[in-house]
Amino acid sequence: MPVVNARAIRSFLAGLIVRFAGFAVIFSLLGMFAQMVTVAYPILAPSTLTPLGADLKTSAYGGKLEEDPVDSTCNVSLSVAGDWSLEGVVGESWFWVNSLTGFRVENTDLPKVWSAATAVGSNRGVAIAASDGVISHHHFLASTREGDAPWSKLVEKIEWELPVIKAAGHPRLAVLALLSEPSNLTIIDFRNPQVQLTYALSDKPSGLFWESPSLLRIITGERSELFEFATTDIGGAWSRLIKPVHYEGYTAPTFLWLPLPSSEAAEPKYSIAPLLFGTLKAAFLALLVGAPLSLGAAIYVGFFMSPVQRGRIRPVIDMLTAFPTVVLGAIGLFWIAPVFETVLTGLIGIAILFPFFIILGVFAMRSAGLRLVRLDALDDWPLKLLPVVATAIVLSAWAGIAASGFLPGGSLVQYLEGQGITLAYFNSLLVGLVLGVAITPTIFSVAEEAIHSVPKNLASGALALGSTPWQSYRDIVLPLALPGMIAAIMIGFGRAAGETMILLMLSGNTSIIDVSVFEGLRSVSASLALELPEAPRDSSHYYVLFVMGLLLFGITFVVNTLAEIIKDSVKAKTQGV
Amino acid sequence: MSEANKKFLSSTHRQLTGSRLERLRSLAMIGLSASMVTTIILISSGLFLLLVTSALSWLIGGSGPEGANWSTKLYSLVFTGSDLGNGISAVFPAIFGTLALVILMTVFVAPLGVATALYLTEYARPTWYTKLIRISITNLAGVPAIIYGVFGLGFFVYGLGGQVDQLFFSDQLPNPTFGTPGLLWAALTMALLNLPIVIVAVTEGLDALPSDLREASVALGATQGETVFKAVLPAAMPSVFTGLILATARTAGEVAPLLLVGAVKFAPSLPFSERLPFIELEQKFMHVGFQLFDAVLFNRVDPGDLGWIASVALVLVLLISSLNLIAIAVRALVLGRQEVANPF
Amino acid sequence: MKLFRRCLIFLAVNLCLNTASADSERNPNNTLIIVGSDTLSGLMTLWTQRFYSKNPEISVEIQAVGSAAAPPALQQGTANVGTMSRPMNSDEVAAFIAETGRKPTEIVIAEDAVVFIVHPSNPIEYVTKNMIARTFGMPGTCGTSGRILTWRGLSASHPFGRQRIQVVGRTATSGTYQFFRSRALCGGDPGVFINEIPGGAGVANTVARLPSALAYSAMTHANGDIKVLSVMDEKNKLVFPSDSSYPFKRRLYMYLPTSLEVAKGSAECAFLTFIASDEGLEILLKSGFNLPDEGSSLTLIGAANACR
Repeated sequence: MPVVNARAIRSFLAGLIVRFAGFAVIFSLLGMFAQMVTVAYPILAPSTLTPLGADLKTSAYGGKLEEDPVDSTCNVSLSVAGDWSLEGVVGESWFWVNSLTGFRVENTDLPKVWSAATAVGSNRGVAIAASDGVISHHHFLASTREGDAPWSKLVEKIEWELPVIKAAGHPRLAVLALLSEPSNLTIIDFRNPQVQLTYALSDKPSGLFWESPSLLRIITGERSELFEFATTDIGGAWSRLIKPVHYEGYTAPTFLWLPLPSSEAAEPKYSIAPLLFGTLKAAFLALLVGAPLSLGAAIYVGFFMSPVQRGRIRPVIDMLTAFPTVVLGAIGLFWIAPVFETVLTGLIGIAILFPFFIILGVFAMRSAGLRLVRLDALDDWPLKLLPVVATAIVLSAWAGIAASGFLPGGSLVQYLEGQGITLAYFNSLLVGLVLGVAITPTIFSVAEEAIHSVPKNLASGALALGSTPWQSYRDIVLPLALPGMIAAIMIGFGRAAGETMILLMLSGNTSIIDVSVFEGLRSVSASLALELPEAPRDSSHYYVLFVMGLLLFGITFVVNTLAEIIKDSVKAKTQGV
Repeated sequence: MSEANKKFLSSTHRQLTGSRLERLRSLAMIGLSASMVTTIILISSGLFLLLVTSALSWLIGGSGPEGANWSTKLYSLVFTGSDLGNGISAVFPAIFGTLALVILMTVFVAPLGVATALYLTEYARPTWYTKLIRISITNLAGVPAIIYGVFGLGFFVYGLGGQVDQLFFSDQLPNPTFGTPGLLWAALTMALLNLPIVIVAVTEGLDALPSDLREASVALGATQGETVFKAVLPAAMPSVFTGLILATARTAGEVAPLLLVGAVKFAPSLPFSERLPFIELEQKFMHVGFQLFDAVLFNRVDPGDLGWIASVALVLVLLISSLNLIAIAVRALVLGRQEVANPF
Repeated sequence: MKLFRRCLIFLAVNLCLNTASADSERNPNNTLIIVGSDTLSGLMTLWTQRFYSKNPEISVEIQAVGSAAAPPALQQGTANVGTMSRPMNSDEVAAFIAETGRKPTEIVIAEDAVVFIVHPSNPIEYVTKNMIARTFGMPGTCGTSGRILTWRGLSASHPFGRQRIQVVGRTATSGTYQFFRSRALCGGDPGVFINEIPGGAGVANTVARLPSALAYSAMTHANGDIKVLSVMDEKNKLVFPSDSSYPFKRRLYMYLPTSLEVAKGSAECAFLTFIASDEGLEILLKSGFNLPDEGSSLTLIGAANACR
């Protein structure tokens, strides 16, 4: 019989609490992802068409129908933005008509024989049901010469066999409601043309119109039926988030992130691709800056230093974490960005000449009989090398700055201008520099752990056999520590991809896809920080932001998991030694 | 040793040692990697010096109201703010808000993090899914802070907060009491943010403990609960403190999640009242990191007048460093008092 | 451990007591939460500081991240005063009515202008609307063609003319951005090459440091060493921001979630009364804004009168 006394009960309760708390925490941490998915999920919802019921009164609505300028049996007059309108007569060409001057310009792109035509998307486009079984959707584009007529561009074509009786374009979106023989109502959403909503009406319909962006009324003889149309900003076509999209007013499909239209008339644009590209570009550049710094330091502290000194130097290097990224961003914005041209030339100088000066300084300190840096007193090197490092930085930076004066054009900026490149004020190099400094402690601590965890006796053996210290590191320890160092880089990458403050302040937030490091970028994290506080709950913008957040979460999660697996594989290898 | 042997040994030695080139290369690489260490330290010192000189030059020299000397400027910066004419708010409420956030966050994260770590190492059987959970938690530590803010906004503020409002404060609706960003949700979000870090730190400490400790405890007749709480946990206290130190620094420095769940530009009342219970959890609060963010992006800063930005930045850096130092000191104090005579 | 446990219990008790007593603290009559426009944030800060010193029993909070934040905050009840540098559009009004069943009260509190700013060393003096559309907008904005890339396109002479224009603007949540987009870009899209800075002060900070920058900004932020450009109209006449025919004048709005009769006696009305007083109006003028002209809409003085 198990012992039941106060101690046992207390122990049991303690165990229960621990189990419960542990479970709750694990559940909520992992549930974060699930919760975010449930918030973002509605963006995938397709458009829906719901019948709301029939109404016997038609006289009021009959009157409204007559006001509709769409008289698809004869001719159509659509007023387009500005002074121009579009007129079309069945069997003849379409014409652009200027309401001020009366000038008429023929539009030869639109089909001449049609059964229904209507403006869609708040007069930014037209949908025409041609008699040859094709429904075409055209965008209106302003002319490149002021005063000229606009022109139309075909965007989509849909095969449609049934004869079309009447069509009505949605007042705001590129959505077409059409009535076709014998009594079918179909909604075609040009954002997602393959998916069509169809409803079989009970009676033969005679007309239709949009009462509001979400209400569609069908006139069927004596009655009229009301339908509710519900859709998100992307109409269920989630590929619009990733693929280039042919937005209204543009001549070709492109990537655009403009989620807040200036008025109800404009179309919100949700291309995530530039933001993802910007995040990855910034992270990559940050690694270029941070990896050499942190890996070099990790090698030294993890391998060459004695344990005592290592215990002392690690907190000193960690002091860099006392600068949160908001401080680094502020320093970048107010102290570095205004003089970035000088900083950049100095950095180029450092990148090229710094190793050379260091090596020179090390040899100088060792020779001349001074033996200031000794191989058996490796712990002191960072301190003893301080004057060398400082001089090397100053000299190589100065050399870089001076050298830029010899470039054709007289300065780096002028030289780049001569090549057709402009150095933007908020550019990716600036972001990479500051972000690289920010992720250095992260990469350092992981890499240093990995290098240090390789048992010292392996390297000592090599030393005893006569290798140089560097050889014993490179040939013995490095292969074993390499996975850990790669894991460190991956963790640093994840950290850089998720960083918000520096990117918000220094990237310029330009949503472009450009490999040039002299241009700016826009990151997912900065967009989240700028737009999520204002996005109305349960709006398409809110959902898309959560989708982006999930993508960021997913990317960092995958990268970190891979890094963990790599790290664990190393532990298994070195444990047996 | 004969001459022939000496010769043999020295030639072999030279072969094994490698050429002079190898030795030079070794020197060079050691020098380069050592210089990386120096460079990192130089960068930290350089940044710190930049902030200090800029702040000092503003305090002693630079702009400000007429007749202001360094002590009045310092006073204004810390306590009143408005006299500086820049439209910035004082730093003291922000320091208070940050400390309140840190303390509240620690209250949430310490027991939960320790409990989870104990569960994973002591109570749960080491199966493949516990290993998966450990990996998941480890890389949750690398998930960007803004994501926790996004989740916190959706789940805590609108979700939980909305529910709390409907259950307890429905008479106040539609003015939300808890269904809006505030100190409580910010603390919970930051606790969630730091949980993986604390859990990882504590599990590493627990894993490093020799199994003999637990075996000896059981051999002496202790139950599992007693083993865990009286033998194992005290031995792992250093790692608990390490985790809390990391969490504290992160809370004081991370601004991104607070943009979404709680901090404001100007809250004239501290989240603090004279009556019980002395802490107002539903109020918004000020935070030094957010203060700096606001000062940098939403205030006019003349090119020659960077000193007060540097002052606020310096306050933040000093705050984080002090929190770290205090935490390290507390750890040393607690561990010093606790003579764990561990013969293993 | 014992101390730790005691602290935990103390805090738990506090939490319970706090939730029980919080409702008596949050009296809508003594809280003022102002959410919205960054353009108005400086003015709001000055006003609330004076207001708070006169009425310390009313706690005030300001969040100024952009005009787009105001309608959702008012609608969800997170704010009781919304400030916007553009009027609420029909979508926002409809959502507000759908949520609360009434219309928000719109008060015009000031007038200002959106100006075009450059570095003090910049040689140009004016821009035209055509130039603006071609520099800031996507190709084809406002029926224009040909993107202007360098300062030469803005009539700057050599050598400055060879430099590329660094275009700077606000982020999309800003009311100034929306106003600029609808008025200067004819509702079209701003170019993806525009650097987006979150706050108006940030835009001015950038322009003050970057000789090749061109930005649009609220007049109130264009202080210090910034050069403000005038606009040349179709008749080739220079129009200054202070002229009445300046094309980019706009009104600044304050929205209340209830009607003024309902709001009588509340913190919002107390605030309105203060800002319509001589002291409040003086602060408004000193901040670089103009008094709203008493047209057909409800303005500051009228609202304050209705509040009494």
